Amino acid sequence: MSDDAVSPSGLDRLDGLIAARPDAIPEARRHTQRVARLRRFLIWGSAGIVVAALLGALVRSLSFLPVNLSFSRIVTQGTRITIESPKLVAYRKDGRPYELRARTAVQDLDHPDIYELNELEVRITNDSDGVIILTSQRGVYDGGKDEAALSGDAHIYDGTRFDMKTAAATIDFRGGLVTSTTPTTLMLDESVVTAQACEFSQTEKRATFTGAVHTTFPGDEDAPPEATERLFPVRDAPETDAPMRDAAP
Amino acid sequence: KGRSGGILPGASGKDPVDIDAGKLDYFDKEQRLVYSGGVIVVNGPSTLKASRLTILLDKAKEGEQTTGSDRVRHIDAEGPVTLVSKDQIGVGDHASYDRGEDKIYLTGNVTLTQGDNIAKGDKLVYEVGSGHATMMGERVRSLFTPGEAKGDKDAKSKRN
Repeated sequence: MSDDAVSPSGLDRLDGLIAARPDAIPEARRHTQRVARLRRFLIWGSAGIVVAALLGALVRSLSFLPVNLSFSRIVTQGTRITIESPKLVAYRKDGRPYELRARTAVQDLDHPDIYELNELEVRITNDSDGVIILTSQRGVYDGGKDEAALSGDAHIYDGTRFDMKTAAATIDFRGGLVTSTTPTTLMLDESVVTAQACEFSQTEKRATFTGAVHTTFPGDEDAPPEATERLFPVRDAPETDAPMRDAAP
Repeated sequence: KGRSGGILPGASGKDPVDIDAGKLDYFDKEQRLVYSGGVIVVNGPSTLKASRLTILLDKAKEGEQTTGSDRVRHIDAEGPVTLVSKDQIGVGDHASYDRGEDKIYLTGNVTLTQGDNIAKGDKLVYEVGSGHATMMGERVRSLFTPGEAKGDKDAKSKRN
């Protein structure tokens, strides 16, 4: 192949390519850095997108709750999300807030309404603006129905007059109902009520106990000790006549 | 402050009131307790049995330490009502207790027995504080068996 077959400008470019250029190495380094940065960006970017998608799904699933939810950490495993130290504030029909905290809350994105809660505490503001506190080892909160099923030593108390302990209870937040079908002990002031089942209706301000109901009103320490000695000393009222009064023969 | 005496005859204010029943409804607004299903009330030496018992409580004053029983203001018992106090048994269709009056009323076909002694009337009013009981009615009938008459009868039955 003769030299005159290649035009001088072709040679120049070829020479340009193969000629030793003093600035080739820095440029190659910059190119490598650009590629590395692009790769990092791609990796992080895609991970970020995945997390954002998950979070988006989570937030969207929470959007139906008129609440705000705070938590310390979120761990995802497949479709199951474990939320650590969740604190959820929601509102009852009458607009009064209730607050639900737990050590962990597990939600499955396949059933976004359902939260499995561990070591939970619920605070319900009652009409006299006092707070009723409710704790238990486990609970399943159904956001769709706005209900919580508690198990593992449910304890409901207001810290002053009212203190109830039962093995398991169900709370209907919207209906303002707490029901239990397990043996229950309630302290009200210093009186004690025990029963096999109970139902508290906050809207009706009613508590119903069923099954072997036993109540103890304690004695009054300040009361005088002596009881009335003569019991039923029958004495006919003067105005009445009592023909049978005469003793038998 | 507090009950001067018990709620049932013979009980003192120190005696607790124990109530057993099949069901209890507590209405916080009205401070009302309704027991039903074989109600048994034990207070001191006395026991009251009824088919239904309604207790009205005084509202607990804020911050006041209350035992619960000193807030019992009024009790209504639906019959058949049986009130047993040591060796005395009072039976009637209805009973009520009012702390203001400190009285127990037993009304409707009232029968009061103590050993062999029987009194029948329409209404028995028992003053918890003084221990006096008054039987009332159009025709109060009482049958008292004196102690010696009873002794003669026993001796006669031994001789035969």
